Amino acid sequence: MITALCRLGAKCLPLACVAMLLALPAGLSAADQMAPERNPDDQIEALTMDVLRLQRDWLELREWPSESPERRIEVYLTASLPERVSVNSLSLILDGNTRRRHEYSAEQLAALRSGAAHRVYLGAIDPGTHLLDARIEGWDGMGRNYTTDSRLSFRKLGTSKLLELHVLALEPGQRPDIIVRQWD
Amino acid sequence: MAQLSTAITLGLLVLATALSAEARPDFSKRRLAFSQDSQDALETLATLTRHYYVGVPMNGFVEDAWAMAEGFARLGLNQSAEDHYRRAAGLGVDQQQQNRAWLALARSLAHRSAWQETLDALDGMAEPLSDEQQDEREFLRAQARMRLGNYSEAALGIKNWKSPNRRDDYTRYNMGVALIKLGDLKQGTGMLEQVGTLREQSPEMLALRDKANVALGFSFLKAEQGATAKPVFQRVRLDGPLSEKALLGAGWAELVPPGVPQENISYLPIGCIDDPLLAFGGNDSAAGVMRRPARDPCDRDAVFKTRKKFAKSVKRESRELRLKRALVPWLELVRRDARSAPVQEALVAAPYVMTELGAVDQATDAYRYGIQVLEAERRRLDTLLERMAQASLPHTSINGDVPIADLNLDALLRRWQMDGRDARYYTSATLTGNQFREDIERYNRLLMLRQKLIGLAPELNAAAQEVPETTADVRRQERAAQLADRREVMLIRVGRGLDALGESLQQQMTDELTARRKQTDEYLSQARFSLARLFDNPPKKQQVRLEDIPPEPEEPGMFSLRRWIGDDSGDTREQGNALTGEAPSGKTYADRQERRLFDVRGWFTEKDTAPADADTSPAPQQPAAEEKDSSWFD
Repeated sequence: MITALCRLGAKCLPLACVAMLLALPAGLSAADQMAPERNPDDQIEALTMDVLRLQRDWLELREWPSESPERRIEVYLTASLPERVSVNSLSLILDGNTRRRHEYSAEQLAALRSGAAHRVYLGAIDPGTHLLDARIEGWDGMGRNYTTDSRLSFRKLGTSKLLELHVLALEPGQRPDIIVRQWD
Repeated sequence: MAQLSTAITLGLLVLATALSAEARPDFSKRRLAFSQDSQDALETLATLTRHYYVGVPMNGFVEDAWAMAEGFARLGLNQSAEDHYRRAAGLGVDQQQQNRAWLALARSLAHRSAWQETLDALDGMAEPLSDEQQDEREFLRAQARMRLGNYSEAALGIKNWKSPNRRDDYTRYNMGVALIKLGDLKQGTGMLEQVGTLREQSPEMLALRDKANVALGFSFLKAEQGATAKPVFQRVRLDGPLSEKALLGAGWAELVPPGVPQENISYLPIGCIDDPLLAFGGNDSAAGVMRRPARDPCDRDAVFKTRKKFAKSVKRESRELRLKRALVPWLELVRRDARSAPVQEALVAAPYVMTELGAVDQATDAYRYGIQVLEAERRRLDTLLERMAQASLPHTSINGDVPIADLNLDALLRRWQMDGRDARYYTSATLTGNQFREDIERYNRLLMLRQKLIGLAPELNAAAQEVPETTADVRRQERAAQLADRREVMLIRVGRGLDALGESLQQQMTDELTARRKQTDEYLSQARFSLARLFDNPPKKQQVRLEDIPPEPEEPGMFSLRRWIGDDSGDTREQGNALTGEAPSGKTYADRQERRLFDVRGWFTEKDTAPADADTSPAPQQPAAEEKDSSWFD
């Protein structure tokens, strides 16, 4: 019905429709239900805040995957790359199970180049010996695709485990290598 | 073909040494940098707020408040951004940090038209200021004063302005337009004249100069100062996006009363920092040897050099000569793309002038030609309106099922099956209007939220479906399930908002296309009515045949009338019946033309003074567009 109303064509109608439609679905806050006439910017702002809260709540939940720190494991990706050498994607396999596959945007690649660190994986594993496989795909700066694989057998002690995968290439044309560092 | 090089290095390159001796690194700041540098505002804010509000900022309170403000601003959360800019300004330990925050706050407030608060924020800034900061402060201050209706203070600000920044010219343009709309023609035209005589040759400044000259020319037409308007229109580039409006105006400038030359124009003296004497404290300074030519708006001699046409005595020119001169730009116009509104007007106006000159046969041909062209235009507009009615803007994809990351004009036009020229000619007011741009901005904000919510799904769902091993795992699983439900609800809200915004965008385009169709219909009716009158009641004076336009070497774009009348440009538009149109009665053609003339003069106050592809960086504010926006909420 509202869609039909929106088609009526009055100039003032579209914005009103935006406000009404944003306010309609289940799960509305009380403030939303009390003020369906709020303008679309307010509605979008409220929705953005909701998504932000969801993101923050998820971040908190993700930070503490388990109450026992002895099971915690974090894997980071960092890079030292010449200008034209890129990392396009990373796949992470832990004990034969694919844990993460990430495609890097141009902005994310630029962030890595400037020294930022991407937390690829945060999870929980039992103490003992484990096997981590990482595969990186990208361009080598000479117009060629490259794939680099790395395998690490490591021992998880009774403390939180931290792994850094550092992608390193010294000059264009060189296939980057993966250097793995670990801390307990 | 790219070579695929695969190498498996089993532990060889892996420096898997347990670096027990090395301290465990803290990746938290580098992680934050990753989300900041990769423009992930949501992740950045989520991280920063978690630390900031428990009193453990990542990079100190000031920098974190600043980073949070920037993140909120990027998400369009203006109120939150402003709160954090204020916090950063209050916490800033040095003036530079405070100025940065006050200026950003003022920018945000100006963006949402909170003009008094903008002025208050600007008052928070203090020396030392960089040149760039000073320029922006004065620009925003002038804008705010104008919008608050305080033109005298804004004018005083501009008068005392000693900045070399190019924003000056945009401010003068905006202020000139605003003053004229308020009825202060003298001050307003003075402002526009300064912009209209800029010597700078950059594409951006040339576009602004054309815009100012078109606005200025039509304001002189409205004041019945044809002789003053004519050279102003002649300053507009013939190959620029505003050339059609200028050509139309140049023709009308010959037909309105000449008026008193240079009346209704007032120049404001402007302090120029380009002049080192001023910068170093006047003529007594030893810096006199550094003197170099002043910039355009400061150089009154240069202004008058471009206005030699005023020296001509318009009284000595006969009406016939002026009518013939009016034909020159209009005949140039009718050869151009008929999607342009000025071209359509010229299709009716040119034969009217021919009739007045007694060239009845040529006028008849010209009317017939005009009717064919206008009928084809009407059909084209009907087709576009039909396509628009059938098109939809699903938020899932623009083309097929490929999810879209952001909405831009090209994607929209593809969806509506409209090419760029159609869009530029028919819907430029909508496309350059604030409402349309704001709706696209809103649409993209919702798309960004949608992408974020979709991106959260795999991890959230996986966490919600994990097999719990401990009590903590059970709690975590329940929490993840709650978050997954919240995500679903938000995704629905985002989708409905996208649908509604898509309809709003489409409705705006449809409205303008409908208006253009109505206008084309009016021109068509005028042409048919005038043609009918020529048959029913031909002029009694002796018929003449115009062989050529009177030579006027200074006039750019001149060409032969014979070339136009005899031209077969390969137009295959079908012949239409010139006499089947509705012929309104009771008014003479001349009456209608006079009425039309006033419509033309009204152009200046309409919203479409901006070209569709005008470079607007920094964008000149368009008061007319603002008026259009406010009407939405009436």
